[in-house]
Amino acid sequence: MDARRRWDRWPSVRRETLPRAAGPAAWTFLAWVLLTWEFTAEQLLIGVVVALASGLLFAPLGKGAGPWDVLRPGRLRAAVELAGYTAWWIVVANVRLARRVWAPSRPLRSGMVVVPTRERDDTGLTTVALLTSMIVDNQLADLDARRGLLQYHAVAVPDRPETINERVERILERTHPDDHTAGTGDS
Amino acid sequence: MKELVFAVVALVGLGFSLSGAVGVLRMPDVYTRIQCSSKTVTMGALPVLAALLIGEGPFGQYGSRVLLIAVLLGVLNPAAAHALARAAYRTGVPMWRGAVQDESLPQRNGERDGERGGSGKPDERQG
Repeated sequence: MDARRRWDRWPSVRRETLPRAAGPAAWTFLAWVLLTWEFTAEQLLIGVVVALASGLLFAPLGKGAGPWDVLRPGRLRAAVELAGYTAWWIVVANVRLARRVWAPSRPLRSGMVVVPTRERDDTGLTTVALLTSMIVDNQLADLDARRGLLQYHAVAVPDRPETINERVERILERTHPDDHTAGTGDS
Repeated sequence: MKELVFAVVALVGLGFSLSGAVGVLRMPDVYTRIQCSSKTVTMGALPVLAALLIGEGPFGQYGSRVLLIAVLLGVLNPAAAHALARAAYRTGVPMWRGAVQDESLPQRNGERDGERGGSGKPDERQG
């Protein structure tokens, strides 16, 4: 009876669960390959099993982006641009902070600021929060997704606090010009 | 030549790690210390990982694990620092006297007074 019920549910599983599991499963498989770096049939098979299990475990959380999403037109270029921008500012901000650490007489203009964000979906907010927080000048302290507000602790409060996330959001917008405020959480 | 580049890159990483550790002692409040303890250490770890890549080569067990560790550091460090900063702010840990601004998010419905620290007035939370 249970088997029959499961068989009847198979179309909805195929329609909903498998697409949701595909992204996390692909990332897990990539992580497995990087971790083991052994291209034998046994290791790859174990990797596939672990990846499928992890994909199915994460499926109830919603559709996750897979590695292929980065390769969509516009996204690869934006990803490279974001990586370059973040890497540059990580170095600049770290050098600035290191100078302040070794010379405490230098002024420190730290503080909490609230800045608006145009991102509304979970993926966009997470990306903006992670990238801006990787730069040592800023640290996301809290957010209000409904009102579109981000609260940052800044080591050097800029004259225009909006500049903290402005550039990252502008690059992100190019990756999803139509749906970045859709609120679907699955882009 | 390879050894020289390896040593220089590793020393850069060591320098940033050291400045992060000194920063934890020298910075005036918990929020600036969080920045030193988490992200300066990322800048310390990344050059060391790059040095490992230079020493062992990018395509191999070391290279693949370096990539994995770099991605994990990039994702987990800001997330952990966010959790610390948010917990500190919501429990009312004050910023230092010299902090130039203290803006906080407007209270949401159902949130009790005191659950969130500042009210946007710069002087209120400075300890």
